[in-house]
Amino acid sequence: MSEFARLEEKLAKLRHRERAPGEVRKLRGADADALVQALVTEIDETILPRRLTLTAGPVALHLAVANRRLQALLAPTPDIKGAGELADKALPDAEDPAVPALLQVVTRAFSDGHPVEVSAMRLRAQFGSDVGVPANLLARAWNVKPTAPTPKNPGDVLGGYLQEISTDAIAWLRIEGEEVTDQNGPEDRVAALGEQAAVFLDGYFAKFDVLFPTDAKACGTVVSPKDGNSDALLFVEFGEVSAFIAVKPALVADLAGRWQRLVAD
Amino acid sequence: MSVSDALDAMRSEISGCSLVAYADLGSRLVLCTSAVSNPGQEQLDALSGAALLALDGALAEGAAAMWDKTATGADMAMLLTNAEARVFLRSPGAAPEALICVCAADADLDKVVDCGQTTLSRILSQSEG
Repeated sequence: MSEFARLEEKLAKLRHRERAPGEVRKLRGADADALVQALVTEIDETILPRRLTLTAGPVALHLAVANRRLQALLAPTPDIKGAGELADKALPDAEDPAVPALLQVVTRAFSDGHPVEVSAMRLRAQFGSDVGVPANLLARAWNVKPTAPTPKNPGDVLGGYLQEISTDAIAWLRIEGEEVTDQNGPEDRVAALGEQAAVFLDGYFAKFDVLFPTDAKACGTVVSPKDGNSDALLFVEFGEVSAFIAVKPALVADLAGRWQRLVAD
Repeated sequence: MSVSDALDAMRSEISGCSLVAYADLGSRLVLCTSAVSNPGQEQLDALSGAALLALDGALAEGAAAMWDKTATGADMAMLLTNAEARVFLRSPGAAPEALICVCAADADLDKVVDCGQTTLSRILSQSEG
């Protein structure tokens, strides 16, 4: 059993609760081409294995996406010509004939003028993380014009940041999805941080809508104690990756500012 | 220097600062503000509610799980998004009051905290004077 079992159990529970209802968002695009472009962006921003469901009126498409790759069209497929043959078959590479065939299915699904909604559910890894067509190659294969710079890779950004602050921080835990994937600091302090994080998350998620009432993405939270003997807590998050950092109160504003400069728009 | 003057001085000192407010955590009321544009009551209520949660409520209680037992509540808290940074600083006085600063997402947070502490000292000395 992981030494962070309590924290990981809490993360799993909270994420499940967080994702269960109301995760449906509108895919923005004036026409089918723009919607395909928005879909590629969505794929480019998806790191962990997810079942993306796209609903356009009566049509629903389910896609396996992970590691910024489109992996497969999943069953059940819509009543669109060619969709059935593609179901649950992994896309081997961008040159495969299934890639343009899937574009045709997607374009037809988006062509009726219905608003398109997208939702993402956790997907038990059905395919390896290196399976599928990376978003940048998919954009080329589908002739999608890039309109926005490629988003920063959250994992890389967090990794660089944690490395940069390792001498200033007392301890940190790196979290990807629902697992603690890395740690740094004295063993007892790391263990205490895991306990602290589990308790902290209860209040954080329970009051999230009050703490972050707008659509802006939460990037970081700092709580610094009154007394000088305790450590401040810095919780940073970016997409599916996050970290809990214990730091001396005198340094926490500087560390928080360095994180903001990396991730803020 | 009046409370209003102290808040104005802080806002002018921090680049990208859109609002500085002084709030009573007990009543969750914003007592005084300095802002680029007149904030709505809803925005002020949201800020004072967040200040209470961060300094005395759910966030502080969660973080305090591993703090020294003598620690009661938080002294400073930040809620950071990709669009803005909100910084909450507890007043060192006996009254449950706090300073709230809303600034650009990439603001110099060290400077915000320093200026905030100076502003709180000014407010405290004004109220004691």
